[in-house]
Amino acid sequence: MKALEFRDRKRTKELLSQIEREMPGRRVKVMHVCGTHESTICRYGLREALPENLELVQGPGCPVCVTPTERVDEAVELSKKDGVIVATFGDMTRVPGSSESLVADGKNVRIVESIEDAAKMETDKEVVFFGVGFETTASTYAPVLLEEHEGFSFLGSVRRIPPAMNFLLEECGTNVDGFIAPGHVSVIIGSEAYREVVDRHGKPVVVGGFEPLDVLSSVLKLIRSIKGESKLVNDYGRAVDEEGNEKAQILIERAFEVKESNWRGLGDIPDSGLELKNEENDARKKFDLDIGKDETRPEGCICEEIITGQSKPDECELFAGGKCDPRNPVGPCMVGSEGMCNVWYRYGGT
Amino acid sequence: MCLAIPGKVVSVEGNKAEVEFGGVVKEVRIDPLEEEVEAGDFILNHAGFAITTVSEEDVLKRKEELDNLESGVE
Repeated sequence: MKALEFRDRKRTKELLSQIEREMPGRRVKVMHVCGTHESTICRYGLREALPENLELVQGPGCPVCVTPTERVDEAVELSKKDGVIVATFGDMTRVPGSSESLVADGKNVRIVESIEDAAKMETDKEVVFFGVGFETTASTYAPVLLEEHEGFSFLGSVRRIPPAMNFLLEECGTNVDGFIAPGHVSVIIGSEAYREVVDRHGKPVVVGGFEPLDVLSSVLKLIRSIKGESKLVNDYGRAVDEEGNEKAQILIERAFEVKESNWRGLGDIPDSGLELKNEENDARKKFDLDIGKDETRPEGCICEEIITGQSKPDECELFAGGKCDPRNPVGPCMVGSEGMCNVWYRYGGT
Repeated sequence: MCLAIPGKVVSVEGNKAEVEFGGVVKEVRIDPLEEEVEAGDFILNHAGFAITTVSEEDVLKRKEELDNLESGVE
């Protein structure tokens, strides 16, 4: 798989020098919207190697982190019911709800690697798959949700990224010079999906890949766009095209309906949620779950500021004071492997 | 969460493929793919599903593009 790696040390140095040469004579703030981008940035020490006046922040690009407390509480409530198994990805079992996480109970919880594993689980209990994710993951949920599976239902927290980017600019006063858009979300929705961010808000968007040279290339192209005319650039052409994966889009449209959705740290964002169309498979309706919004926020936790790109983990006293770590996470950004705090904990933060 | 890992298709049967990831072969569903795949093709796997193909030609094109970034050629 070496052919797909873009990690050449010499090219990395050359690209860093080029970025330094082309930086405008002012501070530039770039938001990426993907935990995998943050992992590349930290794992390869890119933030430290980039010019000091270039600030890279992570936006709401971790689906675990933006899942609101009430959805976790619903999953916890389901896991306590007789005859029910909650199946989910490993990260979601440790996200704190208002009083406990899924792992606190544990006996009716199973970790799976895909929704299909959950749908085909051999058990006489009802399996509820607690599925979070953006468009990328929605494209894996949709085919299974469109099939018939006995004793299987879905508790979803599935979201669309472009409405959140627009919302950050319109409602949150997020002050960034441009975005690096998430490459694998873009595989599904296509690079043109960010047109509104560029045309309406005048912010350049570069769709970026995940190798270190990909990230540096996207930073360079973003700087060029910031200095010139705001543009939409697809810098991950080996996986992304303008229109996206139209077959996956059709599957998503058949399985899900676009609705307003509550994001942790951001609130209600119009047209940002993907809700299950088939109510028979919707665990929230099947089990009559009615947990209202929960604005509970762990004391001292600044996950909401991190999700909106206003702060970084080292500005959190819990993170800096060693009081929040992946074994004992206080907030969701420390739980998910794509959460900024978790990534900084693992790779040292630069 | 949106991590997608490249793998090489070993065999295809219906809506599933055996795909090799660094020496480990796993079953992956291919129904979200727009194009048909066969043994030897590369796909990106996300949570047990192939979300797109990656061609050798596109990878080589990317290498060339990265070599020309200083000149501003895109």
